[in-house]
Amino acid sequence: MNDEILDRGYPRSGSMGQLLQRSLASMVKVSGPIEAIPGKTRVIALIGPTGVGKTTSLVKMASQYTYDHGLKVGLITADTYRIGAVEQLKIFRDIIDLPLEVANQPDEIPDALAKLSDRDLVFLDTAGRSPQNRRQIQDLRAFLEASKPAETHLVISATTKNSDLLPIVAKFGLVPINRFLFTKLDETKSYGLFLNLAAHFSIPVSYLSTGQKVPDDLESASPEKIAELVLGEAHGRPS
Amino acid sequence: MEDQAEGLRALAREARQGKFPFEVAGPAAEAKKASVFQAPAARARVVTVTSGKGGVGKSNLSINLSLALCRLGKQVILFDADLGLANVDVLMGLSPRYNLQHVVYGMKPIHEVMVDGPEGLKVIASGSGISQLANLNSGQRERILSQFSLLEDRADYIVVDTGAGISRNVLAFVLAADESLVVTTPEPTARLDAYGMVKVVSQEKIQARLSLVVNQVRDEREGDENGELIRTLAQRFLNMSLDYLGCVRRDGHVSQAVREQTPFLLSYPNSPAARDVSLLAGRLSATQSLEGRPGDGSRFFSRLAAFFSR
Ligand SMILES: Nc1ncnc2c1ncn2[C@@H]1O[C@H](COP(=O)(O)OP(=O)(O)O)[C@@H](O)[C@H]1O
Ligand SMILES: [Mg+2]
Repeated sequence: MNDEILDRGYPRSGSMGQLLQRSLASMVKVSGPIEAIPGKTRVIALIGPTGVGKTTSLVKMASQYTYDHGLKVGLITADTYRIGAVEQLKIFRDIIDLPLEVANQPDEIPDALAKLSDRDLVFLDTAGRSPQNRRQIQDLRAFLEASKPAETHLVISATTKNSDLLPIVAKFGLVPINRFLFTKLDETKSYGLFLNLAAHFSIPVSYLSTGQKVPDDLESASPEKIAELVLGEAHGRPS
Repeated sequence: MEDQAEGLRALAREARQGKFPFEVAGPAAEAKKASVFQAPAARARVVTVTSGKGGVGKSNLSINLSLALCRLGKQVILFDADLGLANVDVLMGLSPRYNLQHVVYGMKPIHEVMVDGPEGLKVIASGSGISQLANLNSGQRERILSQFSLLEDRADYIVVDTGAGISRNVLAFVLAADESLVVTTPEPTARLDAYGMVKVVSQEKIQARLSLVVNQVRDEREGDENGELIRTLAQRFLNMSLDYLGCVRRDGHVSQAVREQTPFLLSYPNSPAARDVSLLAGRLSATQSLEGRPGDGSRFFSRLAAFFSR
């Protein structure tokens, strides 16, 4: 029943929904979709813990920008540690037919970028974990310094335990983060803390991902969408 | 409990008995100021206790920390400045008849508003008195601020229990104080709100000194982890350095003492919470306060009045 109300546009037309939308919009900022400037290569980095959906999100964005916007997109993966990570990306690459470069070390990034210099957008996939956990963030930092991303999205799964959320932000905060990307929103019923996080850190939310379907389940974050999630939560949205 | 510090405490108690802490200055008071155990006309160090989220244990910490400082031989005034939920009197089983509002309106002198607590602690309730300072004319204000100055001259510490959350009131206290203890618990929302509090303070031009206290922890390690977490976040995202003062364990004696309206430091002196708070008091008194406030030699209450009128 609640879904029905939402489907009928309650958040857009109802005054409660509008009120909530406005107050949420003043708290939680959204960045809008990734900006692409044709002819100028912009690097978009995705960082975050293992298993949150970095690669899936990256592929979704790559295919949206390739097919919907007709842009030239390339991929670089620096996630050579996790078994199967490169292969996973290669499968998607073959489907979408995109150039993919693999960078084992930060010093391989300039070469990879040179090969992709005709691309409008280059998505950088990074490792969530590395052999030496202690060095992991230093490695990540080196990869980012070498690739100078225009945007760095910290990908956080909505299934993350509440108590792990701040430690993740603290850990990845060692590199400059300018977007939050929330995934697996279909697997949780509570969004409060995630939105609070975005509000407290004044980091805009870029995308919201609600499932595994590539590329359909990735939406640019909007006040409407966020209000819809919160309303669904308040009404005990059936799963 | 007899320990090495017992002798020192006894000396301190004697010194305090000979002290003349709060009466209006006179020859007798001046004479006593010269005694060995008197700090030479030092100005009180003002420590506010605040938090992002309510119910994390500010009032209990304020009270018991104040008492622990008393036991270290300090002269302490506990100022209940939670303008929303002032409950220090209830928690201590005291019933103050007046509050600062009476001073501000010229109805009572400051020493009649102060209530004697245990261990020589003095307790003052704020009422909405402080925020009304902003509305007085400058003559009235000067007269009242000079009364407040007496407090600042006679105490070693003024501990201020503020409300939770980021309100203009709380911010005024934090910015006017020498330092503030930001209390949190390990709970995710409490520590996120603690970060939020730190963030708001960091955006002010005035540099406040903030220290973290993690309350209701399972063990010291959980306290350390949480203290380190918030310190790291403040460093990385706000470029702000915080101290981690320490933690207080979750302890059933606390709520027991709340029900009994007696501070746990007195009724359960050997409880984990009492021991932790005593450690915090020791650490607090071992750290130096800021060498004066940047810019001027102004006083806490006048700074406060200024913040309320801005
Ligand atoms: N260290 C502790 N261990 C167990 N319970 C605690 C502890 N500190 C606080 N509490 C509980 O939390 C309640 C709220 O504490 P209080 O000091 O009134 O919080 P605040 O002033 O921040 O609102 C207390 O009544 C007590 O039951
Ligand atoms: Mg309180």
